[in-house]
Amino acid sequence: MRLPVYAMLDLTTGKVSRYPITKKYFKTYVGGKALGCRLLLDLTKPGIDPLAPEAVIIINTGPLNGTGAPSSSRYNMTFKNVLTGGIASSNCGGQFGVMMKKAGYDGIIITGASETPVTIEIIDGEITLKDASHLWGLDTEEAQEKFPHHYGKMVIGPAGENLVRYALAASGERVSGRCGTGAALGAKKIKAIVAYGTKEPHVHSRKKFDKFVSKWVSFVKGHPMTGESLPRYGSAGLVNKANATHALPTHNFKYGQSEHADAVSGETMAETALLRNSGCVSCPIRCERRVKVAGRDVKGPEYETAGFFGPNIDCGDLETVLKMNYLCDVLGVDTISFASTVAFAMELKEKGLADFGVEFGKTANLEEVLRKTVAREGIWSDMAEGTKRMAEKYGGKEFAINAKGLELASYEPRRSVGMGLGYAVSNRGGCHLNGGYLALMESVGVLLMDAQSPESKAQFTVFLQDALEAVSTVGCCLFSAQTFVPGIIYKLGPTHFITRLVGKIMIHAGPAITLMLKALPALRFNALILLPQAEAARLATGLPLFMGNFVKLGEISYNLERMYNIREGLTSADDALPDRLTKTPQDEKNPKTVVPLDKMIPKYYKVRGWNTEGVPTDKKLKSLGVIK
Amino acid sequence: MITVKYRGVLAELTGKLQEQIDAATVNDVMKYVKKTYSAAAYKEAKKLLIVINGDSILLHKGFKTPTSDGDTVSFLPVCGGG
Ligand code: SF4
Repeated sequence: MRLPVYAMLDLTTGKVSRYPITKKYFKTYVGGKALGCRLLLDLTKPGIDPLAPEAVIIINTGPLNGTGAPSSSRYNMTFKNVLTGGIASSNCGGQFGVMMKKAGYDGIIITGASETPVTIEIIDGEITLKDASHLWGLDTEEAQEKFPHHYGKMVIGPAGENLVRYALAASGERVSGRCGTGAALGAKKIKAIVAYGTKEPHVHSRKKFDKFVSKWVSFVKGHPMTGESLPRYGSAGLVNKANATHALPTHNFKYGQSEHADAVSGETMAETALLRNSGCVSCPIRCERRVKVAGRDVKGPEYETAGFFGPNIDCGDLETVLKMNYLCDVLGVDTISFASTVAFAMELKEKGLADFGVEFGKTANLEEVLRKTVAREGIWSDMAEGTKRMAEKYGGKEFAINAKGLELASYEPRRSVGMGLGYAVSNRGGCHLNGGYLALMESVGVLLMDAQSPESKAQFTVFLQDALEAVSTVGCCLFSAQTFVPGIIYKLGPTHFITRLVGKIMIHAGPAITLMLKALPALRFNALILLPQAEAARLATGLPLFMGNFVKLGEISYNLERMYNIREGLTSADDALPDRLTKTPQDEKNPKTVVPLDKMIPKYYKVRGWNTEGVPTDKKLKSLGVIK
Repeated sequence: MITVKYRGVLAELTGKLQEQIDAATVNDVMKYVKKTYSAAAYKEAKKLLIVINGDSILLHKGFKTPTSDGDTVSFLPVCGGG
């Protein structure tokens, strides 16, 4: 059994050392975000400032990263969330993760802080610190161009340097956008981390693994979602779907449908702006859009960005969406948090509470506002703090659309109440993916459960959170999990009676899911059509990662993240959503169009095996083999 | 008259992005597609998300949803993301 290789780098002293990962840790936490959270708990004291030198950043990979498995190029960053004060875990495609592994490291742990800008170079096993003063001030594109083409790079932009709370880190044109990755690195004066190496990543059973991967690639290519829809429309294909079910945030989440939806949709983008599709390393899905902005061939927007720079600010101009997406990436801010902060500022203006020079439907000065926010110029420095802190200063908490301080993604939870539960309890804050992404089964996918009913939503949320957590932990992009819905259902379509019948059955399937969660240890099998990531991870590591253990790995990770949040002072009171979403019906004639959190959260805690305050019980942690 | 809009593969199969037809329900639109275009086009249409004036027909009466003069019925591909 090969144990992961980790290095520890103290930026204050410049000292680099090996950090041993024990067999027990490898067997229990495997790698990626689960191991990252374990190490963060071990290596930090409670209550530190996320931007202080004592803060620790763990950048690591999962066992599938770099092995050639589909959609497995992702690296993960674990650190104290700059927006919420709880756990931050943010993953990203691009070349960096693969190159770090090829350079001989599964992960690096960064402590301390440098006084001057630095680049961390990881070249064929050697880790060195280099002066980066000449790079400071460059945008993410310019900074990456300063390094050899064949290096894997991860850089921050001016936003990270200026500690914008939702600054991102970019690797190529992919970003780890959420939770303030860029600010966490910027606080340590890390401008760039680059890696290059030629080592082949370890695979326990190479022959069997390659055979399985080739089957998996065919399966992905043949599945209607990953083989047709995502390559053709990208995630922005969801704009019209969300609009059709009133789940598209509009006018800062006041409404769920917009006349501007089609203009910024994936379909319109494919018809009018798409140059071609593209993808991350070793990904057969290739969901990335290539579009032209100011004559340059650049990455196009994801669904969230299209929705947030479109209907959520009453904009129906695709050019604006494409441009703002590009500018946010190069200046180094998360499009979700920035655009949501803009919508909040627009509503503050509409209500006469503050004036940041932005108004719904007016987009001519958005670039200027972005640049001022990134530079933390004047009052725009407040916009760099995100919606939670702005609401504390200017009011409007009830329409500051965040959970725990992280801005929500672009699914209106009043038309997808299970997604509302997910946002509220998600460990990293208002994230759809860490929240279980039930919107895909309530309002924007092919299989539709009753979007307004709280029934069974707790059970599905727990299962999906754990499954997605495990997929992430082993190093795969979550889009690769979209083959979980059988291809036949897509072939039948959402209106077919069988599809609708399955949706109707699912809403009553909560008890069956609970039973399945209890029976996880007995699920000692893997299947290509369920979670292929499990079989690939089993063959790559030699660990008994069958379906049951695999989902349990996700559960371990989810509980660890919760333990971190509790240690940092977050409580069940933080499992909440703004009043707009829980108290004001989206459709005033339909009182059901609110998120009934009070009905779902107690059930959710129970299914998780947590006490009524949302704290994992000792019994639960013991059953997971997790030490406190 | 109502407007029917086709996107993606269905637009390729019908050779049209949109057209005006007479229909009293969404079901009539489906019958029209079946009668007018190839079997492949009809098969494709059946698996898409059907939207009337921006709303999924599943929020209304499904295929029985009535249509009125000036309405727009669109066929949209089912997508995914995250
Ligand atoms: S599905 Fe898209 S985001 Fe995910 S790895 Fe592939 S190209 Fe990258």
